[in-house]
Formats: sequence, structure tokens, C-alpha cells
Amino acid sequence: MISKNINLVGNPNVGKSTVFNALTGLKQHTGNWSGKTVESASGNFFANGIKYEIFDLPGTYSITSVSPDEKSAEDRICFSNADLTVIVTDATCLERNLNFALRLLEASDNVLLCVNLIDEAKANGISVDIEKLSETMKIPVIGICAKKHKDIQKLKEAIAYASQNPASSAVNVTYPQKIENAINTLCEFTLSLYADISPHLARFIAIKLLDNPLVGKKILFKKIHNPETRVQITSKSEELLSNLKAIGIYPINIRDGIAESCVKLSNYIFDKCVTKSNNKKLCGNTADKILTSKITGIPIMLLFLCGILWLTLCGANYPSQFLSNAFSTLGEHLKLLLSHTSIPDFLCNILVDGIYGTTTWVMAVMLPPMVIFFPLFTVLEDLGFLPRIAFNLDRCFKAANSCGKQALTMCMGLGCNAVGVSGCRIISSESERRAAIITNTFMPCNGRFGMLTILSGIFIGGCFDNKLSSFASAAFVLLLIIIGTLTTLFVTFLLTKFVFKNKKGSFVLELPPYRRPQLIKVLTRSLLDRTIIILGRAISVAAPAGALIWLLASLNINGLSPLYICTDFLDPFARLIGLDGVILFSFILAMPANEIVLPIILMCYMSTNKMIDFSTVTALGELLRNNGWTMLTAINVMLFSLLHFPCATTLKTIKAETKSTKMMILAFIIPTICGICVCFLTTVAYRILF
Amino acid sequence: MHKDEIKSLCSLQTGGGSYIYSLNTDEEETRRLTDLGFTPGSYVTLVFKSPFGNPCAYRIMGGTIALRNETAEKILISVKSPESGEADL
Repeated sequence: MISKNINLVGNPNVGKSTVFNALTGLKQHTGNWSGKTVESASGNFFANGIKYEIFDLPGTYSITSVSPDEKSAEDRICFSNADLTVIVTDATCLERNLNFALRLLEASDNVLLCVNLIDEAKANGISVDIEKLSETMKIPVIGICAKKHKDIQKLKEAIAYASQNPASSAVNVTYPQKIENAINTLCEFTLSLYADISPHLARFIAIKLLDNPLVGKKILFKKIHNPETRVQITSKSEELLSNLKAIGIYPINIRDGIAESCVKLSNYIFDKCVTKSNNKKLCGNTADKILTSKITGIPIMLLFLCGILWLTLCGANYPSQFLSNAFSTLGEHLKLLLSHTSIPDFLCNILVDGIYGTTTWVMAVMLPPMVIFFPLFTVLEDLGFLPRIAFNLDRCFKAANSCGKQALTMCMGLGCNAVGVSGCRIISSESERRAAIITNTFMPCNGRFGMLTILSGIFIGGCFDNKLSSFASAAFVLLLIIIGTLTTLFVTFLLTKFVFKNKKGSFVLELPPYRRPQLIKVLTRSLLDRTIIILGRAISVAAPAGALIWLLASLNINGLSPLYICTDFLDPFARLIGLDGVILFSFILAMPANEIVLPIILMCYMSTNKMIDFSTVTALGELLRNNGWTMLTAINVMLFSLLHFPCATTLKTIKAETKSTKMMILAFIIPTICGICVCFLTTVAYRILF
Repeated sequence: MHKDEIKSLCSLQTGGGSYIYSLNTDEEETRRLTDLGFTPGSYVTLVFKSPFGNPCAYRIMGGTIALRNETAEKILISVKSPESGEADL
């Protein structure tokens, strides 16, 4: 079968992932902020017996920069032999997007320009003349709205046509005369030495060698394999550069000249093809004035977060109770059923009390809060709220020698720390990135979130009467997130000050326009996808852990169970930091997944206390109190859950992202030390006060 | 062009706009800013400030970009659009 490779490229936040999902039917996560896609994804569609392999590249502002999040995109743009490059642009921001498109035209010889969000532009009074654009740029251009099925069909046809009928010659940026002369000389020189490359590529290499020699040499290295030829070409380019210097044109002038010519041409094309019918004010401006204002900016942000937490806590109660009732009834029946078979008692207990009990517990108690929290959070994400958080908080992060983008990675960490860690690629400064990776675990991921909401509901909410209790527990979870944020800032400060000394990075972030979230899509996607992922995790981690705990509790070594020996050994130290041996042991055992900390704690308690019905939250609180939990224990468990070593998946991701075992070890030790210190301090304070 | 017509981007008031005159940032930052549309001659508007007054959000070439004041200080603006053909490159 014939197959064609198609690269999907463009500035961040122009809707590439939406286009990609619509084309391939895949479910790449989309969101309204730059940096959402850090890993490129691939998918395909078929048309007329030809397979079109689509690569969704992370958004990038340039094809030759140095920041790690853009690197993978650049590598694919410059070094892959795609049959077609589809440049996705945002019709509401075409001016800048065209500038990027022009630079990309130099790198790839077959290009299709896709102007997305054409309806949104129209609503803002911007109309784009697609035909004129195609005529001026001498490449195929298509205007679409990626949310419309009809438009995607049109795009598929355009891709099919363009990948088989390459455009003959696209528009070229003409540079200032003397630079242009040098480019031509170098281009001809290259072609005379090495006839195998296209004149188009030779020109691209020549431009890059003069504009940005470091990048140029990298491209040269990949494209021309003969080292002697390469040396000849680079020495020729150096000769040309020194000739230019002799007539007063320094590298900095070349750089500026090239950039300005590009902007001039894109402005010319923009003026010719785009008309703004009226000077409509962008509707987002008023919203931004309120959301980022001195007085209301930060309180509104906190209110939003508190509101989400409150909805989660309130909403999760009922399904949780329903599920655990259903599961425990089912469990009774299952046990009864098994007792009638010939399966030995021992195995039967492992199955029901160990595996079934733990797995269903995770599902009943952890699932509902996640299922409510994440769609709500995704709505904020789709709306474009997250970059505003980064914008509002940048000043605080600056004080900690970091930047507001860290707030974005923390938001991702709220979902999953492993995702947050790989998201740290959007931070351009290496020292800031490393600090952000280590501190990401201070944001409670969805695995820990369930436990925090439950414990806060029992111990904090329990102190207030019915009406106030859910507010109080939501406020306490918010307080925990704030503590996590403050710890993040403090640890980041220490790390960037004393450990990763590096030059200060800057903060440049695009604030995308607000967009109406695709509500139905958000709901179905986060419900279905997340539910399946979480169920998968629950079964793969909770089930073996459940069996292990049951074994540890039931086996007998000199009259003592291994579980008792372990927890007893940890107990003195754990008491010192206001926990107990069982809790600490559970945190250690739950290394593979934080979801199972609380189930393990319960199983340990129940193995000595015999089965108690804990299907209601009150019964659960009772069980914990019977095992010596006080307010201090609950607070310390929550704090330790917030501040402890990341889960195994996150640690693996850290190793992969930093390519350093030392970083992984640091990421294990530093949060753990923080947790122990904080818990120790609260214990001391509590004992002095009460 | 008179020297006193050239100011730093920081001197803009919210809602005010001006043309970019030049960038005095280091090479890496200049490239990044250029990609985002900060090139001499482009019209830039200060749209809003963050709660702490730093960073600020600027509208340029159809996009809204947040920049710290430390960076904005190094970007010079002039009231008038610079005449084209300033250099014989």
C-alpha cells in the first residue's frame, strides 16, 4: 500500500491537536494554552487506498530555536522526509502565523497552508481571502473550522491532492541585497559540490548557515553525509560572513535583516489578503481586566479553585456511598458463593478480602471525585484560564528564581505528576526546569486527591454542622494545595539558589483568546478516558497489592505476622512525626500508585480488628478513630500525602526526562525530607498547644 | 529621529501603543521575541498588567504575549513608525 507522511505544524494554540483528532479520530488531549502538546503524536486516515500517516508536532514559534519543548518539532520539520507539511494557522492571529509559515516554506518544499478558526475570525470581524492568499504565497491554502465535520472532509481532500501534486514553487522571502548575494553564492557553491540535494534545500542551508551558524551546521550535518563537503561548505560560509563583516554587516545585522525581511513580506501578504471589517474590541479584554486585575485577580483564581473543590466534594459523596454499598453487598454474595465451591478457604479469603476488597475500595472512593474534578478542570483548561494563572503568579515564581510557566506544570501535576514532569519541557531555563521537575510532586495528583477529600471530609468537615461541613472540607483541601504551592516556591528557591546555579531565565508566554469549551466533548472524553485509565490502574496495582497485604497479614512467623513486624518496626519513628507504623508502611507499599494508600491502611487495621463494615464515610471515620487517629494524625497523613516521594511512574518519568539518576534520587529524597520535617513540626506544635 | 522620542516598552500606559524601534536583548531572547512578532516597525499595545504589575501583557501581530518588565525594559519603542530602508544591507 502506498503511504504518505504528513507533518502537522504551527504556532502553539492554533488548534493543531483538534485538527489532528478530527483527521485521525484519535483522542490527543487538547487544551487552550501553549505547551499542551509536548510529545508528538501520530495517527492515520485512509483515502482512495492511500494511507496518510499524520504527525502532530508540538506547537513551535520558530523552526530553529533552543528551547527543549520546541526541539522535537524542529527536528521533525528539518530532518524528516515528509511528503507534505501542513501548516496550521489561527485566522485570528494570521499576521504572526504567516511569518512562521514563510520561514517554514524555506525548510520544506511541499506545503499546505491550513487556516483554522475561520469562523471565530469572522465573528471578530476578520475576513481572510483564501484564494488571494493561495495566489500570493503560491501554495495551496484551505480555510477551515476544525470543529466542523464538513471542513475536515475538505481538508482531507486537500491533503490527498497536495501530497501527490507538489506545488512547483512557493513564494520566497527576498533578503536585503548584500545578504541575498551571499546566500546565492553559498547556495550555488553547495550545489556545485553536492548535486544530490534540491536547490530549495541548498538555499535553506545557506540561509541558516548565515543567519544562525550553529543551527545551520546541525542541519548540514544531517543532510550532507560527506565530512569533506561539509567542511568546504562551512568554511565558505565563514568566508562569506567575514566578507560581509568587512563591509560593515555583522552577524547581528544579518540576523535582523533576515527577520525584518520576513516580517515585511508577511505584513504585505497579510494586508493584501486579510480585511478587518470593523475595529471590534476583542471580547476577552474585559474578562482579562477582571481576571488579572490587582484587586480581583488572585481572589477570583482562588474562588474558582475552591468552587471546583467544593463541587467535587459535594458531588462525590453520593455516588461513593452508592458504589461502596453495592460493592460490599456484592462481596458478601461472592464470599457466600465461593464457600459453596471446592476452592480452599485460604484462596477464597485472598480473593475476596484481599483483591476484591482493595480494588473495589479504590473504585468506590477514588473514582467519583476524579470523575467530577477532571471535567471541571478541563473546562477551565479549554477556556484558556490556565495561562492567566501563570501570568498572575509569575511574580511569585520570579521571587523563587523561577517563572510562571511552572504554575502550568503544577496544574498538569494536579492531574498526574508524571504528566506534569514531562510538561516541564515548556520551561526554557535548565535550572528552573530541574527545580520544577523535583517540586512537581508537591501538587496532589488525582491518586492522592481522593484520599485528601475523604480525610478532610471526615476530620475537618466533621467539626462543623451539616451546612458548613462541605465548605470547610473544600477550604481545607484548598489550604493543602496552597501549602503545596508555598512549599514548591520555597524548595524551588533553595534549589535554584544552591543546587542548580544557572543564569536567570526569562518569561515569555502567549495568552490565547478565551474560547468556549467544547462541553460535550470534554465531558465524554474526561469521563470515558479517565475512568478507563483509572480502572485499569486500580486493577493492575490495587489487586496485587491487596493480595500482598492479605498475605503479609495472614502469614505467621514465630506467632507474629510479617505485617505486624514491619509496622511495629516503623512505629517508633512514625510516632515521632505524628503518624503510626501502619500509615508509614502503607505509603511505602503504595509506591506503584498513590491511590492505594488508604485502602492499604484500612486493610492493615482490619487484619487485627476483624471485618468492620465501612461502607459509609462515618463508619470509615469510626474505624480510623478506633485505631488511634486523632485530628493530628489526619492532618499529618494529609500533609505527608502532599509532601512525600513521588510514585514509581513519576520517578521513571523524571529519569527519562532528565537522563540522570541523580535527579531521580533527589526527586525522591527532597520531598520526603520536606514531609518528615513538616509532620514533625506540626506534631511538636500540636503537643505543645493541646 | 530625535532621541527623546525613543523610550522603553515599560513606559507604555495600559491601553497605549507604539512602534518598536529596536531590541537590546541578548541573542537567544531576540530570536524568541522576533518569532513572537517583536520586530522593529511592529505596532505594540500594552493591554493589561498582572496583579503585581509584572509581567505585562502586550498585543502584537494579532497575539497577546506576556513579558516581564525586565525584558520590556530592553525593548525600545518610538512614537512614529520608523522609516523603511534605514540600512543599506
